[in-house]
Amino acid sequence: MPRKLKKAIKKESILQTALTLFSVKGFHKTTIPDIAKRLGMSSGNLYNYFGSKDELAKEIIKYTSDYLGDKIRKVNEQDISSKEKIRKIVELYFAMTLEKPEMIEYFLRVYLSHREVFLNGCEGMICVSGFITEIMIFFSEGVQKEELRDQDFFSAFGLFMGYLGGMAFLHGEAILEKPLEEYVEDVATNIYTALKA
Amino acid sequence: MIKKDIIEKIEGEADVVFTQKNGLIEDINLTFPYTRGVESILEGRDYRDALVIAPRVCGICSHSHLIAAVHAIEDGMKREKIKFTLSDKARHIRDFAIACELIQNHIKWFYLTILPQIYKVNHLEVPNDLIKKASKATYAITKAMAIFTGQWPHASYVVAGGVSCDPSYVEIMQAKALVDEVLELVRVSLFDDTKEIRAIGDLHRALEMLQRADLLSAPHGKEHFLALADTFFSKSGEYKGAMRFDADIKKVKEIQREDSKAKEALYDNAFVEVGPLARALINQDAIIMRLQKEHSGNIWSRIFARAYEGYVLLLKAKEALESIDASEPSCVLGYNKKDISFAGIGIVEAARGSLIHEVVVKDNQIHTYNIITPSQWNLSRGSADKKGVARASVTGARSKEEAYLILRTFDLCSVCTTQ
Amino acid sequence: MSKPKLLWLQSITCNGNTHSFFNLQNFDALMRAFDVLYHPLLETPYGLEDIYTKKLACDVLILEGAFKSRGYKKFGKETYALAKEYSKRAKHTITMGSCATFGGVFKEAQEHTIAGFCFNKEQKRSTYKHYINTLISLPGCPAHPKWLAYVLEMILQEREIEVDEFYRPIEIFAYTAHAGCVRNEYFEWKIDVKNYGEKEGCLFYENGCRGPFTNANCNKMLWNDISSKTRVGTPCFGCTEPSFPQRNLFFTKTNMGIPANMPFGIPARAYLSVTGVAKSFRIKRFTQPLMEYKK
Repeated sequence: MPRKLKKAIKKESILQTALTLFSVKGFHKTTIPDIAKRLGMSSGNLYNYFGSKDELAKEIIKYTSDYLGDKIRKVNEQDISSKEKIRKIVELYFAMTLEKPEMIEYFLRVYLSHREVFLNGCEGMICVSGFITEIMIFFSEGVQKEELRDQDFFSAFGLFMGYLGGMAFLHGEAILEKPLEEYVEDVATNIYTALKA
Repeated sequence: MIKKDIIEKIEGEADVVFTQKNGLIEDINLTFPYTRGVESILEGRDYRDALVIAPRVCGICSHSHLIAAVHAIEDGMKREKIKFTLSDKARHIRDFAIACELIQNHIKWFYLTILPQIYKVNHLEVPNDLIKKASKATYAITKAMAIFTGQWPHASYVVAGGVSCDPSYVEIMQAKALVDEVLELVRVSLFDDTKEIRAIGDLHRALEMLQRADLLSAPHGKEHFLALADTFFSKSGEYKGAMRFDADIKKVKEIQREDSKAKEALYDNAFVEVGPLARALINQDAIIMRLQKEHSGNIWSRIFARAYEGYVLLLKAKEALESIDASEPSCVLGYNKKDISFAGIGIVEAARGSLIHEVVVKDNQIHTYNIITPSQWNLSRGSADKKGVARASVTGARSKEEAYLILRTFDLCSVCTTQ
Repeated sequence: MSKPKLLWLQSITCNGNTHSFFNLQNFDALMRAFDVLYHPLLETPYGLEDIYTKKLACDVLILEGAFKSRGYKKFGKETYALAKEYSKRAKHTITMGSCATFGGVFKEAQEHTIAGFCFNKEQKRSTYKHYINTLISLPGCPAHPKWLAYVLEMILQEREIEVDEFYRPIEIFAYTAHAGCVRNEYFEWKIDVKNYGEKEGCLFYENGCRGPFTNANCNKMLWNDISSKTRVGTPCFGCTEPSFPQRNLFFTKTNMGIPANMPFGIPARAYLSVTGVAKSFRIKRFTQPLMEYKK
């Protein structure tokens, strides 16, 4: 296997492992040696890939953001209405919450709650740009097609993502009475009703 | 004998019908068959679009329309109790640009319109350096203007509350050098101002040729003048029977015509002359008043007054530049983010005379827009016993050529007249 | 070697292009290289009636103003028909200004009956194919004097002028009005103008500037050899494009805060990613005035 590809796969496995450990043990309690041990590599070797835990933290947010952004992009590229796109985005977000809980958990419990970790190198929204850009594309195309109401980006964004993040949080706390996927219909309808032209 | 003709190169053309008896012009009627509908184009648009569309009424005086439009908007806002005073900086910049556009206008009229006609009426060959003289001066003065306005023609650098430009003294000095250049050209070819101002060069030659062709013998003016705007270089007023009165915009009336797309404009139910001569007399400029008396209101006083206003404006332009304090704000109003409704009137002294823009805005949209241009004043037809200004001036002219020369001293502008 | 015969023919116009071209510094010298049959400002051997009633030989036809198929006549003849006749016989037909090229401002008064000579906004008119062999489009409101000077000099030199799909010379119109704007740094770092009349800030985000998606070289060639709209804080109104004039010209159309028009060729994703990065950083220099005067 070419060396570059080997390195990329190794890098991704570090990110995934870190994600899992952060979600199980918590961000502060998980150390680089913990992650290295789980992967069967030396801490020194891990530091070759990521210079510090903070750097690893920033790479993870970019990684999860690109992952989510990629899925939303596939929805954006479909020739369907904004209403249908909302439904698909809600679906994929809830599916990700169920299949890759460590990613959504990381975003809610590490990224949003430990701002000091992300001060340098993740100014503003640059580390989540993979996903923010796709939401921007979704909104602006929806307005351009006159399916969504024109408004300030953040008021729409807060409604959409705040709502989804909130549902994911409630699911994570085991507060929801029904399985998460059973909320797709109502949540998608609420979002569409709020944003439609 | 009734004759039909077309007068051309008046920023477009006009249809002419005149009656001649034994060579003398008895009567003349100018009509304009087409209107481009700028007023209708403006209806329904956001009121700020007027700052882009209104200048397109005319390619030679687009800046006058721009200023009239912003004055109308600012007047309307003030009536709605939006309080503001333009900064001196913004005011001087606007005044400077106004001066430059008028100067360019007057120079082109003198060298490209009236002087060639005077040569032709004398059956003399038109010199081939007139274009170059006009070109040199107008190139420099429009360049000076563009430093602040962005370009000429068709700038949109004014906004409600000020101007969009923010010049430093670098720009101001560049403009000053260009104005000096034009003053130099004027002092070589038109006026000597080392002592009391007098006509020299091409301007003096124009007078000589008019005298030689006996075009100054009969009085051609109506001697009832109007200027509606108070400006940095002239005062508003009415001048009648050699007496000055205050002007009142409420006395202005516009009437539709059946035979022409150009509307009539009257003041206090009378037909009045507007333009540089009117402004100078209302300003009680000693030189022009003396000239008017000396020449009994013939075409020379109108020709001289226009060239003279160009010279005066060069000095005023310098004054405006020297008064700019670059540290002041350019625009004193912030962005308007709310829907507003207002009605306002903007009056400006354009090259050929008083120009009025009236706007009614409802929830940011232009409901109606009305423009009254200088040529409408001078070109109003009137009736057989109450003739319009240009029409009366031409009555009694000894030939078609003399009649057209007199018309060109009013410098009719076809595009403005019909909008 | 006789001079090429030049005819400046006006239709529904404001004369802005005539006066713009007169600003050319060497206007007189350039005009002398031609036999000028008719021009709106200059003394010419022919009057307008001669132009309309005689079949004059003409090599270079310059058209100014928008066209109406019927209902705009002089001397009993429709101006559009006359323009077509002269164009068929001319070696070069130049539409000077947006009205003659696409319809421009005066098309707004009668949308269905007024258009440019060969184009109706971006659509080709039915007669398009008959005139494109000799057509050069110089849209703009007005067109820059040096654009016409360039075309005329190229004609005198017998050089071919390469044109784009709207027949605009590529050597001029390949640029965008954005190239050379003194506010470029503010565009790069997404710093908005805070109010009119300031040296700082970019007019693209909220103030209607169409420079990044308008083909023109205004900020390279400069207007009146010294200035441009954006240099004096006025947004570019996109006057060289078929869509001119737009509505709400002082405002940038946004969809949920995102500019509806991207700079030419830049995909929305690319633009938004770059914008996201730029907006994340607060560059102190850009939050301060460029220069401050001592009070």
